[in-house]
Amino acid sequence: MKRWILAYVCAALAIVVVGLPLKTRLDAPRLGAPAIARPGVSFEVEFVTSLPFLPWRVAASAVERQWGFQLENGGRRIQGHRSCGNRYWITLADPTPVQGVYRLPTDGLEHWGEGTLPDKLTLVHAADFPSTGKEAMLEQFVDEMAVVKPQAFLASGDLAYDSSETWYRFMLGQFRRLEAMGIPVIACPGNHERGGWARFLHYFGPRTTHRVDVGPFRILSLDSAHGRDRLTPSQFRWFREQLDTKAGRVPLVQLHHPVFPPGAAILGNGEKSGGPLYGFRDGLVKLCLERQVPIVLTGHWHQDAVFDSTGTFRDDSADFPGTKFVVTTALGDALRHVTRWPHSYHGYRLLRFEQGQLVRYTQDLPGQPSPTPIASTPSGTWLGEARR
Amino acid sequence: MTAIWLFLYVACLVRLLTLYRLDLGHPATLLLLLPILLLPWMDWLRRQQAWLQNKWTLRVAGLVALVSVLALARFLNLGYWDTHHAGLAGLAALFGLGLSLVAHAFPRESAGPGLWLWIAAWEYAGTWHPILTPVGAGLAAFLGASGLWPEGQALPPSRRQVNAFWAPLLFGLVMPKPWFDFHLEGTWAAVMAVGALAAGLASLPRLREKLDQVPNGAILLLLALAFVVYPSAWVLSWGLAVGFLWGLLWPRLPRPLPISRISLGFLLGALISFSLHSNLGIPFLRPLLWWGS
Repeated sequence: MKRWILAYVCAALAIVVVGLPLKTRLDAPRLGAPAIARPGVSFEVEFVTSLPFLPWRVAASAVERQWGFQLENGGRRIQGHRSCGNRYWITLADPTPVQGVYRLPTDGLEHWGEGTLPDKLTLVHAADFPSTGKEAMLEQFVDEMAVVKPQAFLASGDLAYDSSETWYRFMLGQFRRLEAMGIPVIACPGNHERGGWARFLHYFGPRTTHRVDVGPFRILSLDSAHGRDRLTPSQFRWFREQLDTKAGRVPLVQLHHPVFPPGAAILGNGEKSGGPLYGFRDGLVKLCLERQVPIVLTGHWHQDAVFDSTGTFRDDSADFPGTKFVVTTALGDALRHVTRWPHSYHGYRLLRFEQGQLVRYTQDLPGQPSPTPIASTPSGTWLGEARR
Repeated sequence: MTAIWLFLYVACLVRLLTLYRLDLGHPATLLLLLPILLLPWMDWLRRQQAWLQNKWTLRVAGLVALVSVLALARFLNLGYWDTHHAGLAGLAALFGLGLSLVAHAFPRESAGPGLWLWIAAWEYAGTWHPILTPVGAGLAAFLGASGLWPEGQALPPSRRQVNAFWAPLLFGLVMPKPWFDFHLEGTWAAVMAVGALAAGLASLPRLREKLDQVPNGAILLLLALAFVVYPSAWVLSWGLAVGFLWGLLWPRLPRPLPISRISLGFLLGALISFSLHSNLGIPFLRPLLWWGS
């Protein structure tokens, strides 16, 4: 018995040796998963400490010191707190009225105050970013967003083909530029992030599946590369819970892998890029239909595609009932020809909403019917118009 | 020390490597896997080099295991493991080699639930951060090599015996399911802790007397069933059941415990499990992987 006591005393000492000096990791809100809250509406800051079972005030001071923000700042006040082991959740709210659309984060905490959003909203979706050597493409995209002025930017994975520190710093710099324009970035990982997984987690935090509420929307980001092209049971359960408690918001979904395979629409061997979501596909489609998800946004194929809920490739019409399962072309990585859709270019997708209803998700192409089915917006379209 | 080696080192290494991916073309990988790659030769090496069994060598090995795992944990606590980092791989290799020497010198396990409580406690620490779990192994190696590890009565072997390779292989196939399901969430560590507690429960003398009557086939069948039936929402109950079944199998493994065969069986099982859960592309298997969820 004495030896067991000795062993457990040594165990406690070992935990202390590992945990000191006290440090913290901020898990939420983070870049890519900001907290956007209306005045007076609460949100949670979640973090972990290197030592467990600390009084919450000690833990809160440590997180403030390390991350350089004050939990209670301006009108923001602590509403409550809870903890489990070394994990802490602190509930905050700021009743200060917001002028304009957003009050931007000022102190390093990704907390956006939400003001009055217009009835007509624009979101931008992109995936499969350019990589080292093509930095100008990403810079140009950010310049273009200054013209488009969307209310949020959704990045659906494969943001870092190059997992070097240099690329991450550059990409984060561009995301910060977007934020400075008042465009929150909402990101999820793709398969290529797995190449430098530790670095992705370092910069975006460990919440790879997350929810961001913006205006009338509940934006749900899933991590389909988690089980390599599949969701897992715990992730799918989380997804269902989020749809069950959507509180009147319109759910929008983003994940990296296309939900459906190209099927009969495949062109040749689809340049071996026709990988869809495998695990929990049927469940996801059924939930999207039942919970009236207007659009599911994906990337991965480096070419545009749109499917209806039966998995039929919809190059006949942009307008059809039910959820639109959309694949958006690459923002900067190599283009491919996965389906029979003849157009292939670098671009992003503009999503237009009126009073929360999706009214437009394709771009009219020259010489094509209006609305053109499937097509995303070619890079440079709006920048060119602004320059003209 | 075999159970500690298996649960707090081998399982933990596999878990971290499936999380952060292993780049087989990178030199750091060889370093990381060195203790595992040496496993089949450890007994031969120990016979050829008698000094490896020397008391002072083992004390140094235990100390090296503890110091390197503490350094590794201090570096990685709250952070993420870049598996290409040669320094971290070196620390992990030193820790594994030190622990391997000590575990091979003291393969015996004591009766009673103390050992499993220790494992459960360190698995639970994994809910704070996964790198804390192997600290329990480093500490046990240090205490064991210094003669301070609580040695109780030796675990009496069961009348029934199971194969030291195939039974751990089945366990290795089943146990990682929560790792693949919960990914970065600490829930898998709680499942491992509950599983270790259940194994400890199965080792209680009175209960063991009765449970020794259960035929091997029934236990292995139930374990195989746990691979197919995995209710994610009830994962702690699932972990309890799997841990209990492993607790029944543990005394049935041959004595002295063949560490290498047990470890290699478990590793192969975990590798197959990872391949299946990471979309091996076998259509008829897909619906079976997460059946019950």
